[in-house]
Amino acid sequence: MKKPDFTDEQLVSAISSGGQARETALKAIYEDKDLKRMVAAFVRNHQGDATDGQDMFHEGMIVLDRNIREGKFRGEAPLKGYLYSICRFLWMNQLRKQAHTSTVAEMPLSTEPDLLTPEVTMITEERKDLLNRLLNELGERCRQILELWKLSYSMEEIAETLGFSSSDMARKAKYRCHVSLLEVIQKNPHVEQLLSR
Amino acid sequence: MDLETYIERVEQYAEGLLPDAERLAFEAELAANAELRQALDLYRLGQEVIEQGVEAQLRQQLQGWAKSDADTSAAAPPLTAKRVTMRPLWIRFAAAASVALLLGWFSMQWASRDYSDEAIFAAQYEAPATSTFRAGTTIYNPLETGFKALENNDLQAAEDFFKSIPSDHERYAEAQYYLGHSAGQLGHYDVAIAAFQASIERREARFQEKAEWNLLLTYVAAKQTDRADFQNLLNRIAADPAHAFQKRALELQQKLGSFLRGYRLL
Repeated sequence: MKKPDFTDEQLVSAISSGGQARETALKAIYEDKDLKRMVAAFVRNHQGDATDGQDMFHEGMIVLDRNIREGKFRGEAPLKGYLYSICRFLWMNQLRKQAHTSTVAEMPLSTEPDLLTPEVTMITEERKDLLNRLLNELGERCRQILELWKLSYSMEEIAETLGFSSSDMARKAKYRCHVSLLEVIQKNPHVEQLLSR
Repeated sequence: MDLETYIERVEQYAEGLLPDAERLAFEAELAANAELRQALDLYRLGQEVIEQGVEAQLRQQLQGWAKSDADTSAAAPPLTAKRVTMRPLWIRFAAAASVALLLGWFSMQWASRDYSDEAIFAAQYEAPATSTFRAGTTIYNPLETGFKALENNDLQAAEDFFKSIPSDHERYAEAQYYLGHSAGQLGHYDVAIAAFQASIERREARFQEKAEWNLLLTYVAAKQTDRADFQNLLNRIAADPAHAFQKRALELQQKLGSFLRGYRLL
């Protein structure tokens, strides 16, 4: 799961704290070749190919990152097992959606023992599409500021990364961008429908 | 609803930063104030929107790492030779020696092809995917003309357009980044180098590392790898484990330092 100098706790802590530490930790996890092979083998044994295996590993990493940042991973299982479970869940879910075979719905998740049931938030394509359209209505600069803020960058780090003269300036910009985003959402005619679901 | 009335309190509540007493008061107010409930819903949806951006960034990063892995593990095709059947022993030895020499010569040529500036650039360069082009607003995207030109592979039109974006434009760094790509693909390396440098100077997180990497590749394409600024930038990226292109920079360093770069006989 990791380079020898990272424990699960260190990886989780680095991802939660955001900034460059998060990226370093994600890269350390990404470089676990055994885990990639395990995911690829699982996908290959369940109607997928090498590309599907890689896609699932990437999507699993994205869910892992989000779950750690949102505190949904509580360290009850090794990080490696947790990520593997997520990838398996995502692939089986995709198979069900694609309904390639009529037997998929009856297929057990895996013949291997379940390490745990990962908490994976699935959103509909329609919702994802609307969220992306809302995101694209923000200016590039605002988008960067809000993404860094979401990744727990401090105002000092945001100022340094994006070239603001001080953390106060970054804080003001973040506030303006946040209000702009909420206004964009508020004005979008499809949002009310989305919120009601 | 005036969002500014609520946003700070909503944020503190949603992020769990309110002390217990204030949180309880906030929840009581939520029950009675429809505008506050609406503001909280908007805030939560806003967080989902931003998360989409964070995930898109990570997805792009993962694809970059995957490509880097694939490039590293790509094996050279095996070289084979047919058996030579000649009766006299000395002829066999001579033939074998000739074949070995030829194989050696072709092997050097084959291997050195991968170490030329052109081959290094071709192996490493990726034109920006159309999926990365960003809309400004759904009504008006100030860079749309340039993106359309890139999509249509009309590189000259793209270069002309991105050049026209003034330096005080809020998306200047992005325009310069795509100017670098357009000009680089046209072989206008001086323009491309200046554009990637201008994009880097703006220090916008989304473009900085990509612009740095593409600046390096443009130097390679322009056969300017002996420049001090090329060497400094390459060394800096290669030494920075947090840089998205560190691994590829290390590979580039290795290729540029290979003795095979000297074996260009043809």
